[in-house]
Parts: sequence; structure tokens; C-alpha cells
Amino acid sequence: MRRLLDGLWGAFGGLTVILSVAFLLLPIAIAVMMSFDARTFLGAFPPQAFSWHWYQRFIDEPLYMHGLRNSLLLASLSTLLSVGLGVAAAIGLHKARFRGRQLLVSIFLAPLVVPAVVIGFGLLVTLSALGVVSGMGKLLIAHGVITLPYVIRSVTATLAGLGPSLEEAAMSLGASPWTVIRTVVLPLCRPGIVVGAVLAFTVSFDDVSVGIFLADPESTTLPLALVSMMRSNFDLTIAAASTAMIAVSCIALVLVEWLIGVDRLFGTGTTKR
Amino acid sequence: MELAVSSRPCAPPRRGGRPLLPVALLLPASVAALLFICGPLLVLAWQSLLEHVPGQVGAAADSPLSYRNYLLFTSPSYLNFLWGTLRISACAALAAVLLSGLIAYRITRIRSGWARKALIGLMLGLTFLSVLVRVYAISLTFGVGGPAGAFLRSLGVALGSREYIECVVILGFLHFLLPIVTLILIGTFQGISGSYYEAARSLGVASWRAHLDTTVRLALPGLYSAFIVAFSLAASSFVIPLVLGQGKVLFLANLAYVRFGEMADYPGGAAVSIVLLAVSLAIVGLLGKLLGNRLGRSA
Repeated sequence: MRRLLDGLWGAFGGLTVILSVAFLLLPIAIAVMMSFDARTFLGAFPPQAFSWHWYQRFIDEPLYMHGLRNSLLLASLSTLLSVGLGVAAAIGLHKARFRGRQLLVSIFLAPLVVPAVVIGFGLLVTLSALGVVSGMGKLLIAHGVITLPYVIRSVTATLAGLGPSLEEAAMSLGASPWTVIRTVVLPLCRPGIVVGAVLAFTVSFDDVSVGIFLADPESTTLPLALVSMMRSNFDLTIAAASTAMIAVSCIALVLVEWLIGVDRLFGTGTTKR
Repeated sequence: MELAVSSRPCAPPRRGGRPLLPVALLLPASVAALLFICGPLLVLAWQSLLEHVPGQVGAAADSPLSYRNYLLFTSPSYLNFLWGTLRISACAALAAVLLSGLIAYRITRIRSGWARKALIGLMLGLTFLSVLVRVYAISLTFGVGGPAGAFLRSLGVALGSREYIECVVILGFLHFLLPIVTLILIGTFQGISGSYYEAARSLGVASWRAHLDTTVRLALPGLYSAFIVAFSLAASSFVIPLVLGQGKVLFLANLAYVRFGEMADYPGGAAVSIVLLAVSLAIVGLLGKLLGNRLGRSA
């Protein structure tokens, strides 16, 4: 009896995992399959014949292509911006001990807690009061704000694991503080910088909630174009776009695995048994 | 101490006893944060106290300060939005933590290296995947033409009903939260030794009971904080209710956007935003403290 109960309990756990993975993967598989549907309208699942025509329509739609170009530009620029500011700030925080340091850290990380809509709305009112009119300019500032905490957090986490001995060794050999940062600290926090940059790029590339307040027709991004399409006409060019974005995410994942390794991020199983 | 002495010759010039370099490194980000993180929040709070003239864009010129915009939340419909936001996100967060707990536990106990790596890779890959894409996939699957939608309709479920749409929104949240919460909880379960469980088992306790008394109890702080993260992520969400709610399920974030986008009522939208901010800070701060105290007592 007890053995039976234990077996059922184990099976229940295993089944939950399998069903959850199915729930996570099947909808995405359905979207990918539907994107190759030959019908010219959004028909019922499954697709009847194979065709690339939704991809052709996706590429032919200027709203998407314009949005894609804007999104790539914006994500690259805001990643550069937040990596520049964030790495400097994280190293500064690592080196300095002063009153109000914790408050400053909280302010830097605030966009992780403050709802994106609040940031978007706040920036809308503030930036128009400051006279920033360019849609791209507003979006760049906003995406800088929402990506900065990811960079600061991942670089700070790497720095925290370093310990002072290497820097002290360099200092004792006569290196100036700037040289220590350039030749010791920066190379050592490279994994943190890479993770932060990948996260920053993804966050910017995926943003809807902040951008929807700030973009004008000229600076519309791909996610914003997709949202407006989803609300107006529910056709399958969105599935084609989704499949393309899935490919991009796979590349990001392979990149992370190649540069740092999934195992190093999450360890290899339980540490204590 | 020797180190301090030897590093003195090359120490940077000091002003007020403080090295200049860290300050210089911190300055650009600090200025940006003050201008574009603190500034907008203050501006928004100020805006929420102004008056809006219907038909005009933004606040009325030289409008007096009043708390009138916040009176919106005394109306039953706005209270309903607030309650709906909290109820749906709490349900989604609870389900996400329960399921992710099981998944994360299994991941840390898997013996085969490639299976663990595949599961972690899947979760990590999903967090990299656009929320918009995942939400769209859910709406394709559970919508009218989708396989799950068609199946449920054949069972007599009304796909247009508010209850069904609410369930689809919760499914959307689950898809969004499961990978994140699982990755958070892997850390929790990795730190829990399996020997307590083994000990309980060797004393003849049933497997489920042993898990409940050892693994789950030790994981409680981690599960609580994962719940708070999931709850606050869901409560402040904008895209998921926007796409899956079909206008029938609106969250506070959507309400703020409606007041801005459709009514050009900036002060009203600002007031909704400030309430949303208060709600998420309350979830992170208040609830965190409350649960922390509870946990401290029970430990």
C-alpha cells in the first residue's frame, strides 16, 4: 500500500513536469506550424498545406520592416548606452563606500520594481516638459532606463564574487586605480557584462509597455507594430514574425551557452545531497 | 595593513578624503537615474494632482491642486479593476509557484546531465523569447480556431464568456511566469540537502509526507519570495491582459493607458499609475515583510 502511494506520488510529480513542459512548448509549436499555412486567411488548426506566403507578406509589409529596423537600432543603441553607464556605475559602487550608497542602488534597480507603464507614462510627461520631441530620442532614453538595472545587477553580482586579493595585488605592484580597473576588474567581470548586455538587448527588443507611450508613427518598433496588428486584424503574418523571433531567441540562448555555459549559470544539480 | 601602505604612493588624489575615480564612474549613471527615474515619478505624482478638462489634451492650464483624480477609485467599477488585477495575478502567481516548485525540484534531482541541461535550457530559452510571441501562441491555441479552443467548445465551454477569457489570461501569465519562477527556485532547491528527506524515509515516513516535512518546509522562504516576485510581475503587467483580455479583462496598467490614449486625460492616467505603483510597492514591501515575519516566527 505504502509502496503504491509512493509510486503514485512520484508519478504525479513526473506527470506535472511533463504536462508543464507540454503547456510551454505546444502553443509555440502551433504558432510555428500555423505560420506555414497555405490558406490566405486565419483558418482552424491544423494547416492544410505548406507555404511560405505569410513570410512573404511579413517581409512585404512596410510597417513590420520599418519596425524591425527601428527595434534593432534601438536595442543596439540602448544596450550600448546601458552597458556604458551600467558597467561604470557597478565598478563605482564596488569601489566606493559612502552614505546613501544603498539608496543609490535602490534607485538604479527601481525600474525592476516600478511597473513599466508607470515609467512610460512618467517619461512621456517629463520628456515633453523637457522639450524632447524625437520619438527615437524618447525611446532611447526610456530603453536606457529599463535596461540599466539588468546590466548593473549582473555586473555587480560578478564583482561581488571576485574578492579583493587580485586588485590588491595589482595595487601593491604599483598599478594606478585606473590601470587596475582596465587590466584586472574589467576582464574579470566580462561574463557579467555579457549576460547584462544580452538581457538588455532582449528587454529592449521585447518592450511594449514603455514604448507604447513614447513612440510616434515614425519610430514605431516591431513589438508595437505586432500589438496593433493583433488588435486590429488577426492574420498569420504575426505567426511568421513570431517564428522569426523564436529563431532569434534560440541564437541568444546558444550565444549564452557558448560564452558562459548554462551549467555555470545554474550549477550542476544539487550541491548538497 | 601593509597593503594599504604600499598602495599609498599610487593612491588617487583625494578630495574630502574620498577617492575621485569611483565618484567619476558613478556620476553619469546617477545623473541619468535622477533625471529619468526619480524625475518622472515625481512629475507623475504632481500631474495626478492636476485637473483635466474633458476634450482637452493633458492637464488644464493653471489648474489648482486637488486629490480629485484619486476619487475615481471610490467608484465600484474602478474598485473592480483593482480587485480583478489583484485576484487574477495572485491566482496566476500561486499556480506558477506550485508548478515551478515541482519542476525546479525535479530538475535539481535529475541524475542525467543532458536532461537537466535540456530542461534548464528550455526555461532559459523561454525567458529570452518575446512575451508577445508567447501570448500570441496562447491566443492561437486557446482561441476560436485553435485546437484547445475547439476542443473546449465541443465540451460546451463558451469561449466568449468572461470566465473563459479570465482563464486564458491566467494561462498567459503561467506561460510567462513558469520559466522565470522555475529558474529562481532551482537556486532554492539546490541549496537543500537531500539527507533530511532520506532520514525521514529511513524512519518509515511516506514519500509525500517526507517531502512535505523536510524539502518543502526548508524551501518555504524561497517559495514565498518567488511568489512575491511572480505576484508583482503579474500585477503590473500590461501586454498579457491587453492581448488576451480582449477588452473584457483590464488590469490597472491597461486602465492607465486607456485614460492616456483614448481620453487624453493625463492627470487621470497619472493617478491610476500612482495607484498601480503603490500596489506593486505594497506587494514587494508590505507583503514581503509580512511573510518574512510570519516565517521568522514559525522557524
